[in-house]
Amino acid sequence: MDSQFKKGALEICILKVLTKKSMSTFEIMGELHEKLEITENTIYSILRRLQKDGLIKPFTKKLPMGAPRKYFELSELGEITLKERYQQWNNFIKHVEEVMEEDYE
Amino acid sequence: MNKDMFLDSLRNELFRARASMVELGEILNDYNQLIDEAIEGGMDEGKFISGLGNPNELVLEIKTNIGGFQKNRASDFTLGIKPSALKDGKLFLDFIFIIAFIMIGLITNDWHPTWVILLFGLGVLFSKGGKNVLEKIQFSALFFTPATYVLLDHYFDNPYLGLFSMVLPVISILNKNYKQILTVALLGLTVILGLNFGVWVFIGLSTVLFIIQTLNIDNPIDHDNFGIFVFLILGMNFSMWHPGWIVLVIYTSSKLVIRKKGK
Repeated sequence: MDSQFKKGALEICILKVLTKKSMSTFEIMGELHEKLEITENTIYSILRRLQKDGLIKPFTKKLPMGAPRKYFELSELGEITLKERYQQWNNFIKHVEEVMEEDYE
Repeated sequence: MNKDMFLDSLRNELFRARASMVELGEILNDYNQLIDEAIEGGMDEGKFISGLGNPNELVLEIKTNIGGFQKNRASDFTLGIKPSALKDGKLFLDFIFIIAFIMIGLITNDWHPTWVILLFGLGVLFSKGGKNVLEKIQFSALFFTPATYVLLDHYFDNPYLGLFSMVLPVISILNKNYKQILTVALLGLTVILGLNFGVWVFIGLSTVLFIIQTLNIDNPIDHDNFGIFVFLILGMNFSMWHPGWIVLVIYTSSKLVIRKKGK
């Protein structure tokens, strides 16, 4: 599948998994790496972009053992953006299906 | 490849890609945490790291997806003592050498060559960066050698003292660091020119080039030890050891106090 297309979908998926709970980079990768067949590095770089755009917010969580860890949570802007993009995505899929089901012969 | 090697390689690639120090620190911390979590999750360290791929490709991927790295900006800098300097005792060692320099200078009033004590101090500090005994010797020799050379030059007026700088390439060869062969050749040529024709004008430059290559420094102007390079060129090329050492003290102190955010 085209990598740009995957990256677009990946952004929505990252925002979506963060609606469940805050997660570390490793946990986000665990959710998406195998399902979407996208490398860890691509997921990481998209995470940085989402952070840069203010759609997700990093915070540090203290753990009972070991060093504090960086986690991500969805920002308000991220929640609004997720709704918009999910709507756009659904419309896009719907239109693609319409085109595919059309009889052109 | 283990975690340390991967992070070292990633650091070099980010530095080469001119990532700002803040971004460099963040990305290294993120990957450090990522690998730790993978290991804690029961994954094999080597397998997980090899799955991450080449750090070079990783940096390219980040660069492409975030639209390039930020350039170093004024807001990257802040005032304060580097936490790492406090943690590994560098600051304490720095102070010991500076206080020794001031006290001996005040007592003897021989500021030159008393300042050489600062070079020995830097040698001790740099030796901490070596991963094994030979590398520790190599790093410390970068400072011990010119320091000894200055002392000998001060007390004995011998034209063959330039040969002393050859200690550096010899240590490199012992350490199997063959990458610097051209720089070593330049250093050798400089010494030959000096001994045969009394032309020592390239000695400072070739020594500094040698140090830059030994420490694998990509951008010497942006490097923490730029003051040392200027000082060595001033001293070796123009015999301005004094008051050239003032550049060294001011630059090194400012680097200790004016630090980049996140470092």
